[in-house]
Amino acid sequence: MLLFNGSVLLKNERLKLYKKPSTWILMGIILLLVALTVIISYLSQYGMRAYQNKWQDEYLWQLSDAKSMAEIDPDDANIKKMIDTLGYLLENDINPYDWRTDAVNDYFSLKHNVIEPDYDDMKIHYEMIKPDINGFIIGQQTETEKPVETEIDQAELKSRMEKLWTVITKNDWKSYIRYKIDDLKIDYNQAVYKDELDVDIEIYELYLEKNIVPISQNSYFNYGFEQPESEWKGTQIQLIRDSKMNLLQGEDQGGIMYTRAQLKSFENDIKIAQERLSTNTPPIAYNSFLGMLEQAASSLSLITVLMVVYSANLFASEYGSGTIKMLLITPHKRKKIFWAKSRLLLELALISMGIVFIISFIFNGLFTGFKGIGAMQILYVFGNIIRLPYLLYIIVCYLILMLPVIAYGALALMLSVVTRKSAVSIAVTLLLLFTSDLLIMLMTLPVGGAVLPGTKFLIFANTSLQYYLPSAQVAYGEMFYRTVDETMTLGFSVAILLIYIICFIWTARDSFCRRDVK
Amino acid sequence: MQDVLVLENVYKSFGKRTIIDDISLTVKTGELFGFLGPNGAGKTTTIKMILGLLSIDSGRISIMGKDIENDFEAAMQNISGIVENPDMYSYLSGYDNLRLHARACGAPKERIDEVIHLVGMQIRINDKFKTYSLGMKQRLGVAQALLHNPKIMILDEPTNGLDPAGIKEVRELLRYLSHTQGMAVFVSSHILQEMQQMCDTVCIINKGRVLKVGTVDDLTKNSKTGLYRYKLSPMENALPFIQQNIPDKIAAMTDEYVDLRISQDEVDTINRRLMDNNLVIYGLNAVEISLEQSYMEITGGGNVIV
Repeated sequence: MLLFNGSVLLKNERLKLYKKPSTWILMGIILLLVALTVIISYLSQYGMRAYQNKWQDEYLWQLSDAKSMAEIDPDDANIKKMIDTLGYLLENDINPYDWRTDAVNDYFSLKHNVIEPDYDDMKIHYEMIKPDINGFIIGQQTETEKPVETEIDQAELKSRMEKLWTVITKNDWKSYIRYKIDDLKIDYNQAVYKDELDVDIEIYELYLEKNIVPISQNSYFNYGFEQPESEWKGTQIQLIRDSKMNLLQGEDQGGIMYTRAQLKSFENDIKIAQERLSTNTPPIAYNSFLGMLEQAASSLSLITVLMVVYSANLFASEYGSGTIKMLLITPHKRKKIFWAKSRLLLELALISMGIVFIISFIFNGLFTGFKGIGAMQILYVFGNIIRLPYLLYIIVCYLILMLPVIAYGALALMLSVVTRKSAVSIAVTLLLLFTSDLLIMLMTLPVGGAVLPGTKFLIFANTSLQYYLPSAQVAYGEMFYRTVDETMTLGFSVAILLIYIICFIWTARDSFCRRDVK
Repeated sequence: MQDVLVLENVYKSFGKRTIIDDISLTVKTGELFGFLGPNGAGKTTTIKMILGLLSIDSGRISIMGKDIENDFEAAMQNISGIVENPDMYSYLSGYDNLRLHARACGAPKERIDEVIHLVGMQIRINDKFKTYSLGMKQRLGVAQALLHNPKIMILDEPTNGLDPAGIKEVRELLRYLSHTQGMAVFVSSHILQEMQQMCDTVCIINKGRVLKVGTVDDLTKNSKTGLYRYKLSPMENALPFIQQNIPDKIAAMTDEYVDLRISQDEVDTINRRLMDNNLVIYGLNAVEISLEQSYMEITGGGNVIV
């Protein structure tokens, strides 16, 4: 806190700012908006949950659909299986994330002799061949046929069905897992993608080893429904499986499906999920108290407007009212006066951040009752697993997200010192603030297959830090993940922002200290 | 007497235009120094350079021996001033404005009350600055400038826009500060009369150059012409005689006296001629031997309010 004590100049700047009525009017408006954002985001989530279909309704709807199709084509095995499966699931009240969903599905598939389409096997497969005469390496595309299903004799079929039925009725997930492992091992020798089978077997063994009740893997049934929090361990194992599968896909020769950064994030996901399982640390739910508090960080962008106006007025108002003369004839070097004002700005940024944090803390707490406040967060940073209280993690997130706010403030400060007009400075900065997304979108439009070089070094390409933060990626979805290219990381953007802030402040300082006051 | 403020060969130009062209002057302790010149002569520019608001192109300014460019903080400890208007934070009270400045200059809190008493602002001190009249703003400005007991106070047109009573108040305050408190006061003005009534030393500048520096007595002594009031008898003979012989010297003429604008050397000749013509001089006095004359002579005219 050495930054904020001592200097009489800083005390003076505080007195000037905090006794100004417009300071508090503006602050009040912004804080009201922040509170409104928190309330609206909560209400919208509440509404979404209230109007979301229950899985039973969804199943009933699918069931009636299947029944009407059965009337047209009564011999279709697939439809028959569907009717039986849905009927059984509804009858026994088995929710979409229950592992029994898979078992029931398997059972009726066998009963109606349905061969499940295996999407993995239909994947396009590349094989590298030797360079041709001209030295070109050509990836040859070969579509591998699905291995011919050997006829299962009736006796084995019967025993399998019996096994599944006992598993389902006894609710014995361990036997089901063993059954699945055996099943995979039977196919093992004929399989083309042995490594994928390896992953599946490894995951099944993980369930047994950790003694974790699995969740349904069949996305046909559980797509679009909220995962129950109590089954987070199963979800984590599922996450490990998906990440491992994605990694296999990425390493596929010639056909790289994911960028290197994404592959790295899959590896991190696996490590974090393993750490969560071994330390029994559940992830934070999107709609819990901490989850909501974390999302409220997005309302920090409202402070940008506040900071821009304050920064622009800090020097320009002194020039405008002529008080700059009184300020400069005190026995202090201009350098010191400049630093006092800059420090005030930093202080103001931190205070407004603190107020936003407190407002969202209180409002979200009132809605959710401060549940799970002591939860832990697990991060994977520079090859180390880091455990820290989630609340602390959120505060760190808030601080990181303040960097773009401060950068825009520094830009406004520089413009106001150079032009000595607050209106010019506010207008230019806010224009850049609101058009930056559009600018970056236009600049990253592929021009002949390549992004304009150097775009990633622009300040606007680095102001959306929320996309880098781990939990936000889930909230915003991969779709909106927007960086100029894959080499950009949180560290890169933070460094670029810091460089810009230093440049802006230095230019402002130089201009302020050198120029005549006419 | 110590030299408080010294300017040595100071130059300043904005672009190609030279505003200050080799100004050198010295202000001593307890001196009420008048800085006189027509509009655009470079008065405010000089003051801004002394206060460190403008950079100096070449030359040297020192306050109590401290160079303002190399030793800014030490030099500024001894100086205060009001440039152009007493601008303060309009949304703050007079007291808060003083508090800000006192803190920045390192003046103790008791000193604030002292200066408020000195300028007589006790009653309205807690009102917002924007509610003050111009006279009150000027007085508060002086109070602010006095806060840290500077050795020299620089005032740019302190009587601008004040009514006669206000002007008299300021004049008396400045006299008190310089003659009783021993503070050097540097006052700029383009109003001649004011300078003559107030200042000990006057420096006349025009077009960025110092034309003349001296005490008010010095400047007026060397003046070549002055206004002399003759009371003659018999008056009815005197008037036609003067109108015939020296019409260009007449400044005013009434039934009781004649005002002549003549130089000191001419006084004797005119007296002799009047006596030769049987006119009795029963009254002769110098009405206004003023700075104005020197000023007009020195600057060769110019837009000065006389």
